[in-house]
Amino acid sequence: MPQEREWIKRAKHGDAAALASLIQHHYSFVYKYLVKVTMDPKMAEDLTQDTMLKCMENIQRYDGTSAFSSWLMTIGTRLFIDVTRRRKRERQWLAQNRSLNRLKWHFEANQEEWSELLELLSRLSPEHRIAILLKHYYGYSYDEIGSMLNVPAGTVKSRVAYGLRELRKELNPHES
Amino acid sequence: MNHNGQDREREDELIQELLKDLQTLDRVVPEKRGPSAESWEFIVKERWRIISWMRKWEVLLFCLVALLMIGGGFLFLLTIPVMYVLLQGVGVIAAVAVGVALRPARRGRVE
Repeated sequence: MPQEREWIKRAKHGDAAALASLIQHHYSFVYKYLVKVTMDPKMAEDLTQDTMLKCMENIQRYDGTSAFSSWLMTIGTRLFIDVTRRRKRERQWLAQNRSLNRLKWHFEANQEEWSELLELLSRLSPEHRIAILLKHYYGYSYDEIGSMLNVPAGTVKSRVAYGLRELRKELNPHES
Repeated sequence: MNHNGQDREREDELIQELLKDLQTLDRVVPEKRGPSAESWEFIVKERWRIISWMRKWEVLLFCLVALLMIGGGFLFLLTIPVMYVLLQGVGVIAAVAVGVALRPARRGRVE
């Protein structure tokens, strides 16, 4: 998108209006991504704002090797991983339950069914869930995901395979 | 081979189901537009101002700490008699060396 390239160039030169346009343009996309990662609309909203603040602080570091949206997703993902590491396990379980209820409410309000698969996806560890989302929903390669998460591509591949295996195992427990 | 093929098929089906459910999730969760572009511009300017202010104070603090450490380090060295004598000795040697280095130039000029 040529306009985006122009905004990025101007933002890196200190144009606040250009950076503001960039942020506003990507806000919803980043939010939707983080809802799928966190399975919590409220937390996703907070993380989206934190992501945009980090973007403001580090815009000079964006080198254009990946898409701007990918860069924002990387920031958001790393912020989320930091948050989950800081939380204690008991509080995490409680928070997770509350956040899922919020998400389920959105489904009910739209007369959609909260599937078992989504329930199982929410129970996967964040690392496995993120790997599956980035690989199969957003279409990134293992190398790209590895670069975003700062782990080797092989680790990403294992996480995706493990995550899918766990989903299949829970979905079809009679399969050996 | 057949078992692997079946596994692959099941995995593909699982992934297709998952993608459908995630698309539903995208549909049901309302969009978030966030603040307007003007509000973001204000936030960006404010954020950059704060970062610039913090960086100036970081540099000042760093210089202060460095000076304190150097000052404290020299003070410590001077209290140890051996180190004090060594420092004096090094100073004398440096002075003699400078004197010797300058002497031929002076002799040359006089002649």
